[in-house]
Order: sequence, then C-alpha cells, then structure tokens
Amino acid sequence: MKKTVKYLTLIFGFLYLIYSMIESLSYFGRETTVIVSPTGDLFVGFVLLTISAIYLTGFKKALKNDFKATSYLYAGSILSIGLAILALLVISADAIEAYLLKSEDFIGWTPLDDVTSYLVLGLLSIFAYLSVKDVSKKPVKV
Amino acid sequence: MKEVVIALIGNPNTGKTTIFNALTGLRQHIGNWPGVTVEKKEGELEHKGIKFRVVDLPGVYGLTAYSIDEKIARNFIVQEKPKVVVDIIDASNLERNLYLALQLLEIGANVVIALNKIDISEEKGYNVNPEKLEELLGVPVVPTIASKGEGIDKLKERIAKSLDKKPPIVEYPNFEPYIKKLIKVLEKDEKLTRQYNLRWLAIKLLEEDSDVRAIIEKSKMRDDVLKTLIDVFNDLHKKYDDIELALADERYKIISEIAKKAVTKKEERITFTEMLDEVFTHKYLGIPVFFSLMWMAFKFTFDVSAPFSDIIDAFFGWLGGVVGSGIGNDALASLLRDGILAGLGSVLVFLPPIAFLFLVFSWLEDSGYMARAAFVMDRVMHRFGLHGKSVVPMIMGFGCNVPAIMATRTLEDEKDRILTILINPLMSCSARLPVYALFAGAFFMGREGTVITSMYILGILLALILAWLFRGFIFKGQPSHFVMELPPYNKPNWRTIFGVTWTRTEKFLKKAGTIIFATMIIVWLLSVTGPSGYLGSNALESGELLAKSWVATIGRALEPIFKPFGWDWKAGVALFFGFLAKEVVVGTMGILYGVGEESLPYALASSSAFTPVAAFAFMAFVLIYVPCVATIGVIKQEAGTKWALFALLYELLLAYLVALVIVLMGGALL
Repeated sequence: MKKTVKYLTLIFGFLYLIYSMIESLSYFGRETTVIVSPTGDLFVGFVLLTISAIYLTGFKKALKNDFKATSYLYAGSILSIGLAILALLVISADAIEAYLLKSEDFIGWTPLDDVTSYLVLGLLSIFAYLSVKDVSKKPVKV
Repeated sequence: MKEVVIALIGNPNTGKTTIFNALTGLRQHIGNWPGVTVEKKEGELEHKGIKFRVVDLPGVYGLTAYSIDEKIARNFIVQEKPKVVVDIIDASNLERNLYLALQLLEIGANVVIALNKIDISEEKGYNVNPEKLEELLGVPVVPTIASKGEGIDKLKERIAKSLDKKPPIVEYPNFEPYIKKLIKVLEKDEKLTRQYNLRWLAIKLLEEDSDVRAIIEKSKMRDDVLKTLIDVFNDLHKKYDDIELALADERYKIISEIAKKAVTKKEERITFTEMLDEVFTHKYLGIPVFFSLMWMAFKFTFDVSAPFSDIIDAFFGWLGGVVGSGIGNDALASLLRDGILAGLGSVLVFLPPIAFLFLVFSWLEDSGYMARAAFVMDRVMHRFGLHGKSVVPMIMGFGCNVPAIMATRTLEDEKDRILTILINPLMSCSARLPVYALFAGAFFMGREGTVITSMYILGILLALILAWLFRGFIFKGQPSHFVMELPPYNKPNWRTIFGVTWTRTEKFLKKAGTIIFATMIIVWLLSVTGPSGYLGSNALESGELLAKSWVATIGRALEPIFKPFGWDWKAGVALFFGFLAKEVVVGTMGILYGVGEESLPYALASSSAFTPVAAFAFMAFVLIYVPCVATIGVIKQEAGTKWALFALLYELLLAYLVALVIVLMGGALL
C-alpha cells in the first residue's frame, strides 16, 4: 500500500505538473500539443497545478512514511475525477448544441474537439482513486 | 382534524434541515420569528390520522439563552409547549449533542431523539447502541440516516406514539437538595406551577439566568424565593467558585456515563472527512483548492447550461415572430414583441446559468465544503480586518446580496457586522451574471470563463481592500476571533439540493415576472414615445427615430457622466434602469438595440459603443455600483439609513473610479 501511494502520487503529481505548464504556456501563446491540444485557459493551468501540488505533497509525506500521504492521493483523485466529470458534462452540453439544436457555432463539431487534458488525466485518476477508496473501512496502521 | 404542534431542535450540522424536509415534504412555509429577523420554518405532516405542525427551531448547542437563536428555541419550548420536541443528535458527535438533550429534559420537554448520521459514526469506528441510549435517557431513540431517508418512517411512528408521554427527570446528585428547596418555595405560586416546569426554574435560578430571574420578579413569592436563593448560594459558594460551571460539570458527568455505556469503539479509523480535510483545509493548499472549486463551479454554470439557454432563446425568437406577424395593431404588436418578449426573453435566457449556479452552490453547501471554504478563507479575512464569520455572508453574496446581508446577524460585534454589510454588495450576485455573460460573449469570445471569473475575483479583491480601509479609518480596532465547527462531508442529498435550488431560482423567476417585467414595459414605452408623442415601433429599428424618444433624452442627460469611458447614451440608460435590478441592464439593452436576445451580443460587438476595454470597464461598473434597490433596502433595515446612504455613495464613486482606471490603463496598454 505504502509503495502504491508513493508511486501514484509521484506519477500523477508530475503528469499534472507537465499539463499545467502546457496549459499556462498556451495561454501566453506557446502552444504545445502532447496527446491533446491545450485549452488555452489560464485557469485550467492553475487548477492542474493545484492538483499537482496535492499529489506531490502526498509524495513528500509518503517518502517520510507518513500515513497521511493516502489523504493526498484520495483528495487529489477526487478533484481529478470531479474535473473529468465536468469535462464530460461539457461534452454532453456541446453535443446537444451540435446534434439536437444544430447551433451555427457547432457546425462540424465532434466530441473529440472537447477532449481536454483534464478529461484524460481525470479518467486516468480513477486508478489512483480505486487504490485508496476503501481506506476508511480499514483500521489505521501508524 | 386536530393539529398537534411538534418542534425540531438540534446542534448545527446535525442534519436537522434534511429531517425537517423528509418529515414535511413540500408542505412548508417560511416566515420570521416574532420581533426578530431570524427565519422561522414551519411544515405540515400527517401520520395515522394525526395532523402535525412541525416547527423547525434554530440550530443551537444549548439553551442558556446567550444568543438570539438560543433565546428563540428556549422561549418556544417553554411558552408554546410543543407536544413533542424531536432532538436531532449527531451520532458521530454524541457527547456534545447530549448536552442539549439534557437541557431539554430539564425544561420538561417531551423529547424524542433522532440519532442521526449513524453511518458516519460507524465510519469513524464507533458503534452507538440506540436501545441502550433509550434505556439510559428514558426517551425514545430512533436511529436515522437522514441523507438516505433511512429511519424517517420509524421516527414518525415514535413521534405519534409519544404524544402523551411524561418526560423523565434528570437528577444532579450534588445539587438535588438545593433544587428541591427552591421548588418547595416556587410551588406556592400556582401561576408559576401552571406555566413552568418548577424544576427547570430552580436550576435556572441556580445558574443566575436573567430571563428566569425576571419571571420570579413578577411572582407573588418573589421575596421568599430570593431569600431561599441567597441561603442556597451561601451554601453552594462554600463548595464551588462558579455554580453555573459546576452544573455544567454535573451534566457532562452524566453524559460521560451515558456515552460510556451506549458507545463502543471498534477501532481507530481514518475517515473520508479526515482525509479530505487534510487537503482541503491545508495551510497552503486550502486556498488554491477553494479557487479551483470556484472555477469548476463557474465552468459548470456557463458551459453546461448553454444549450438550455439556447432553447429558451429559440422559443422567445419563435414567439416574437408569431406575435409580430399575427397582430395588426402596430403599438400592441410592438409592446408584445419588442417590449415584453424581447425584454423578458433577454433576461429569462439567463435562467439556466442562474439555476445551475444555485445548483452547484447548494451542492457545495450540502456536501459540507462551504464550511471549509469559510475556514480556509478566515486567515485571509482576518488580515483585512474582517471577522471569520464574515466569510459565510460573503460567499452567500455570490447568490444574492439580500439574504447575505441578513446573514450578518450571526456577527455579535456591531462594528464587524456593519463592516461586513458594507462590503457585501461587492460580492458579485447572480443578477450580475447576465451582464457579464452578454459582454464576455460579445467581446471576449473563447475567454468567457476567464473574463467572468475575473469579475468575481475583482469583487473579492475590492471587498477586501475596502474592508481594510474601513477597518483602519471608520471601524477602528481588531475583529474578534472566530470558532466554527466543521461538519463531516455528506454524500449529496439531491432532494435537499434541488429543493434549495428551486427556492432560490423561484425568487429570480418572481423577480422576472414582477420588477423586471414592469421595467421592460417602462423602457419600451419611453423608447417608442418622445416629446412629440408616439414614434411608432420603427423607433426600435431606426436610430434616427430612437434619438427622438424619452429614453434618448434620459440617456443624453446621463451621457456626459459616462463620456470618459466611451460608452454611448444607451449604456447610460441601461445602467440607470439597472438601479432597480441588475438583470434589467441586459433587457434594456435588448430593447434599445432593437434585437432579440440571440442577436444582442453581435449587435453590441458590431456597434461602435464599446471596445473590449470599454466593455470590461462596463462589466466592472455593473459589478460595483449599487446591486439593486432591494439590497439598499435591506442595508437600511439591518444597519440604518446612514449606512445605506454611505453604501450607495461609496459604491457609485468606487464604480466610477475603477471603470476609469480600467479605461485609462487599457488605453495605455493596448
């Protein structure tokens, strides 16, 4: 368990850090595409940086064998999945615009247009969540 | 059918509202407690042929009558004598909650306990035995998980069965002789015997309760009671320095004994609440998490609600077309199409984002996060001279400033309260959202979320700066420290969330149907008429004709004021009518630009009235200048005329100043 927390916080911490930089740089005009195109929204960069900081703080605690590291993996994954759900809701709303209302602004829109870094990372974070979702059902081992 | 009055009471955050909603469904009405502006909720419940009137008492920790909430709760139980008092106890925090239960038994209330949140206590590794608790307290105990609706039917059953039950007596061994001595004198007054529980009066006399002392002052046994009380005090002061504290100790001793017998601890566990709080209330991560969640809330509000707005938009467009072509009379057709439908449609199109904003805020409140938001922001608030409790009204201000200003009553210190009231209008309420959405869509396409969020941040920053200035120059001194309880996180209770969302959205709809509707008709009338009489419906399409209208006369009178910002007279008119309600700004523009809600952003963007900088300055002006007449009214009610006028004046000056700075800086930079 301790190793899992250590690795997952490190991996997700860095993934979110990289994408927060990509998003922030794209806001200032330096667009880099790694798997998905950045949204160009500075706030997305800020949110991804916050989640990265949560995971990396968890990693720091995991290195010290602090059992609280689990809390960071748990809270980080909850926020990540929340963000992915938000992205899915936005895709659904845009799908209504494109396919049902046939809005002019959505001509030629496909669901792939709305695939964002935080959707992909959030879906990947399900693995992080699954590893800690039952922690509260077990007694604490300090 | 005879009506039976029952009351609901409990500590804050025990799930009292959820149980109230579960018991009464939608049969509720909200008013104020007599003489005070504290909200009073009542509902109806029918069970086995009995009709109950359920009164929701304010959330309190005790019945010492130190605060207005405690006074209301206590007076209701003592004077109205409800047949049953349902005490909602948080099983995950049993000992603290039992203090109120003991005080209710002291009053002589017929108590039924709803042992709520048993799932959370189990999650914490505690097992509370309801049967044992019932046996020890001598009152019915019903385990419930209100968030899932579990145990509610059983609770109704026990309430109905307990109607004529006699409450048990709680004995305090170290004080019994003194209590009995006082009762002996008190019972000689038949009026007191009839109206009050004498045992409670005796205990309260020992605690030197001023309200009970006032009751005794009017008793025919006054002199005897006071003489006995002096004797009792002489005796007790030999044993205790503080009798009230000693009585509290007695209560806690009993509570501790009860808890020892009724609670078994299985093992030490880390709960989800503890895990989330480790991060969400973290010294450094707490604030970024708060801002991240706020961004997510706004992203959800605008992006997900968009298709619903488009549906309303299409409906009003279609209706306008039908009305326009179906009615022969030009004035009537124009009133319906250009006045009512165009004006109302351009406001109602914002119903989805407003409802979605309320939905997400209700969810954050219900989940327990809002209390954390107040906690993490407290450190920031304190630095700017605000009290920690100011955070809650400030967050509420994002919804509507009127209830937010009323919520400042929780601040005991008058200076803290008025300071919080004065800065509250700077928290961007939902009525300002349509203006931001319109201008962001017209001038900042693709960056709407960021631009709108920047308005909210600007409001927060201005509120903090002004709080700091007001604290330094007007309300000198330090704000008092703030203690608050963080309730455990809850799984969403959609019934409660949707209920709250609907109540808040309904207010917007009512406003749209009254004040906004009336204003739209006035704006239309002033647009199609002028000093020369009726100009015809063409006035809304022809700039030349519109220039001869009354509305243009008002606009031109205001134009010099707004000239430094580069706004035209139409913007001035929209702001003028926006005094009534901020939503009116968009509706007025819809009429003045003679286009439907769908085309308004394009009409604005293509007009020469606004550059992106001027549009941003206009949004900032709308954010800062007086939110609405209702807000000024509530400031007058809560703080007095002087402060209402002060708020009006400073907001107008500040709005002007900030808009000017934006235009000048924007002009210099771009």
